[in-house]
Amino acid sequence: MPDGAKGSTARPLSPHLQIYRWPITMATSIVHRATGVALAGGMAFLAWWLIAAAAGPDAYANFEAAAGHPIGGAVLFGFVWSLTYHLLNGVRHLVWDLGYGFAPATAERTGAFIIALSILIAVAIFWTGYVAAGGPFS
Amino acid sequence: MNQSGKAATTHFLHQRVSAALLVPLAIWFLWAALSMVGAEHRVVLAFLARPLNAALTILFVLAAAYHMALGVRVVIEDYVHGGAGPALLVLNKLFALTMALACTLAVLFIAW
Repeated sequence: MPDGAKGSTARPLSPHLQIYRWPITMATSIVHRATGVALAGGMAFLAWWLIAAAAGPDAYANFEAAAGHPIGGAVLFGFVWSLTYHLLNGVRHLVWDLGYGFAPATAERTGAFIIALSILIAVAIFWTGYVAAGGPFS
Repeated sequence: MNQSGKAATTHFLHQRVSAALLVPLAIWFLWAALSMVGAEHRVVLAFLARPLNAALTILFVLAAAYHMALGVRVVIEDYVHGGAGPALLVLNKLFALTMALACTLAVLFIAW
C-alpha cells in the first residue's frame, strides 16, 4: 500500500478469513451451514441404523459395533453436537425471522449463549448415552 | 440457480416451516435414540413397531430430508460456480429422496 498524503498503513482492510477476528455472529452463521452439511452425513447414519434394524440381528450387530467403536463414537458425537447446535441456532434464526433479537449486541450475546449451551447439551447427551450405558468411554 | 422471485419465496417459506416442524421432532428423536443406545435389537424393533413411534420417526425423516434438500441446495448455489453445479444440484435431490425413501421403507417394514 503506497503511503499517501495522509498515509497510514493501519487502515482497515477487507476481511481476510485467516487473519480476521471473527465476530460471533459470523462464526454462528458459518457454523450453522457447516453443521447443516454435516447433518447430511448424519442422515446417512440414521438410514444405516433404521435399515440395519429392519434387516435383522446380524446387520444390527454390525451397526452397533461401528457405533460403539471409539471412531464411530467420535463421529456420533459430531452428529449429536451438530444437531444440537443447528437446532438451537435454527430457533435463533426463526426468532430473527419473527423480527426479534436482531440488534447487533443481542445477536452477539445469543450467539455466544447458543455455542456454550449446544456444547453443554451435546456433552450431557453423550455422557448419558455412553457412560451410563457402559459404552467405550465409560 | 436462476430461480424466480416466487420460487425463492417458496423456498424461504418451506425452509422455515420444515425447520419449525423439526424442532419438536428432532428433540423427540434425540430422546428416543438416546433411550436406545446399547439396547438389544428386539428392543429397538419393539420401539419402532409402535404406531406412534413409527409415525413420528417417519415424520422426522421426511421433514429432515426435505429441510436438508433445501439447505444443501443453497450451499451448492453459493459456493459451487460453473461446471459441477447443476450435477450437484441433481445429486442433492437424489440423495434426499433416497434417504427419505430408504428410512421410510425401513420403518414401515419393521412396523407393519
